[in-house]
Amino acid sequence: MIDPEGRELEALASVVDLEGLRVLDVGCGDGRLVWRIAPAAESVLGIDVDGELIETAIRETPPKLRGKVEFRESSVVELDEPPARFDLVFFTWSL
Amino acid sequence: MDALRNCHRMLAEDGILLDLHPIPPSMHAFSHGRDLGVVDEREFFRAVRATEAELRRTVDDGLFALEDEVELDVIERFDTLEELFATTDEWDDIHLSKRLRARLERATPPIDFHEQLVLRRYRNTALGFRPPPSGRPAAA
Repeated sequence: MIDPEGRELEALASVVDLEGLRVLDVGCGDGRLVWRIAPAAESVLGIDVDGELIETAIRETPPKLRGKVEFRESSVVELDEPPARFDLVFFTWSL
Repeated sequence: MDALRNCHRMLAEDGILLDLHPIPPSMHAFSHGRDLGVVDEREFFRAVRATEAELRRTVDDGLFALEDEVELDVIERFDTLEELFATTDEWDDIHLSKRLRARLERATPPIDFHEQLVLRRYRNTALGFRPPPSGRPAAA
């Protein structure tokens, strides 16, 4: 388990207010940070080049978050979303 | 860097780019508070330095402006040795020395890897806009 003490989220909260933001999580892996971000955000799209991790993320997403999170197998270079689609892009160990 | 330029395009004006990644020193493995040794991350940190240089170039180009930075210690916890070695065996540019591996094999879980991270906040700027050649206005 990465970060059992929740320090990443604590640091995140110290630099940005996630309330109501449209978030792109690049390198989301199995979705652990997407789920932590989602309650405050308006929406979160998690992408990762590892299809198996994306399948895990989709399968294990808590039901109450399913309306506001989405996962896709993609690199950020290939991602073709409209201009100004996101308020926050978060590179998690993936730049 | 194509990834960062695509992020710049997809971000709203004044949008935020956050970058979280490990920084030196290399992580140490601990078992019940006992330091078992250092993980070899030299190759990994070479890649980190190259990426940080790319990001600095996008700042110099006017796409993003650095606004804030915090450092944090994070633990990656392994409850079993099977879980630990299944994870570390998949790492491409992070390695366990023979000595550390032997110590880990004799250690009692949980095993904690202590890692130093940096979180940087950048602001999307309008300066990344490049006017078309010959001074004609950009197409809508």
